[in-house]
Amino acid sequence: MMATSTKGYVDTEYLRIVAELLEKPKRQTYLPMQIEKGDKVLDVGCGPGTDTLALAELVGPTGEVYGVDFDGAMVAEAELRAEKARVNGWVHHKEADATAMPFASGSFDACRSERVFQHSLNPRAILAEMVRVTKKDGWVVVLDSDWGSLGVDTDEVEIERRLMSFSATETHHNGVSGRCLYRFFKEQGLTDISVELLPIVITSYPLMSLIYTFGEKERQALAAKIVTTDEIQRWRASLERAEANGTFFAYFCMALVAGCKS
Amino acid sequence: MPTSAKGYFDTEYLRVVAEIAEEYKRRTYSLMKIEKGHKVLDAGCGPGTDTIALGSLVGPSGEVYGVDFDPAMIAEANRRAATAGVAHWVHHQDADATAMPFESGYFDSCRSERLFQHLLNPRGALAEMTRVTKKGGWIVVLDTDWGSCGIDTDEVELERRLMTFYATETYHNGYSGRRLSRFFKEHDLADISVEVIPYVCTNYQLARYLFAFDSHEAQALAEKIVTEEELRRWHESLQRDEENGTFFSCTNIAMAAGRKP
Repeated sequence: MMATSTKGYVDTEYLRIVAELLEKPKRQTYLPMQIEKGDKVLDVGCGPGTDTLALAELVGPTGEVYGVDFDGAMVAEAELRAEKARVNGWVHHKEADATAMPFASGSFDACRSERVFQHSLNPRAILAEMVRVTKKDGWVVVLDSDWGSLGVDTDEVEIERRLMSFSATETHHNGVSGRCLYRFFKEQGLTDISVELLPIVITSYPLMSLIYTFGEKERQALAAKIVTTDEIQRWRASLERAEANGTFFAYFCMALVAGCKS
Repeated sequence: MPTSAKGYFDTEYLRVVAEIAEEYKRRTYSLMKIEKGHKVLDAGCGPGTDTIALGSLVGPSGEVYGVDFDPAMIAEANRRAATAGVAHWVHHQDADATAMPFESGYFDSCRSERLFQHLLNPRGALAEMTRVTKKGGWIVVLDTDWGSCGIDTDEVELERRLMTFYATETYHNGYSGRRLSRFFKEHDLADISVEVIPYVCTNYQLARYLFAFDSHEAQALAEKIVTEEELRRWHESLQRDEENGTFFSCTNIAMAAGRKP
């Protein structure tokens, strides 16, 4: 789904840190998939296989897990990890475009996708494709960030709002993804739709900088003349002060949306 | 806020919000660690929704005080306390939250809900709540972060402009929720906990009402933040969502608790 563009691309070290922080929301996505032993499930945007390995346990060796990712290196790493975990007998990873997956319609008992839609120019098409490959009465579950909800406590409110609006709308293809999911699920005719917002609170400036790549976003905002060098310095100084005083506080919400293919 | 009515709401609005906020309200009470016989305070009590509930938690051997800057709210709160039969130990006073008519260390615990967002000096109110609380007593503040308010729409740019304006200009302290953690730490409160509680509203008319869109939009127009044409597009996009059953909005509320050291 990102084959033509690398906007928002990230590496495996970043994904490991984020995975730790997001472990709880991640686990919460497995529940609405209503997985049983022997099920066939799909993870769209599988990255290095963090979730496919966990799903392997849930379906057991009589089941089947597929992970797809547009990035060949991620797929290779996921395959390596599945082999190490000795689940490669029933866990497979494929390089594929999420909007045109190499699976027959109605192949899966349940599908999930996590933090993929925000990087996509065409999230509706990914969801349509997930619905297509899911069996009737199967569950489709999507977890994604709403970067529009990201707030950082600072006295430099005006600069913060400018930077956050810019980064949510301009540095991701679909940065407010989380809040769009309810509408997309309804448009696809999914039923029994549930929406849960999961707040992620971060009280460390370095961690926040890392997970939201502040440096990169500030550079882009500077280049786009959204902020001046002086404003960036004031913004950073305010956050460094907060970090030094132990008062840094930021949060954003992820949306967890589930629906049934009827 | 005695000098300003920015963000002022009537009792009917407060009733609707109170119904939605019932669960969070109960959680603020439990964080206050209330026991029978306690003296507790509600800063920004409005028409007494919480003081009456607190009245039954402390019982007739306890004492509840509610303060509000608005004498009409105080009169209504007193009427309701009388009707509920708790007026002997539940009292309401017209007072400024930054200069309350109580001795230092008078209360076992204090709470304040959706008040700080309307204050020019929220730090002053927290300092005052801390002053009137006993050593070891709990201070609990629940407040909205209007900066996190988001509405799903294809008019994202317009939405971001309007939401930023609402949070920044239509409240004295619209980002209140996200600031509580810092304020509590600055006041050296102990055992601080902060929880962020998301609120989702998929009913367009209710969201318009809860988020006071009518008055906010009029203000945004008057201050030339949006044009009439843009506002028309904005309304159309939301009405479309309402018709399709796809309207989605969310905001977050922060609940902070800490003890006076």
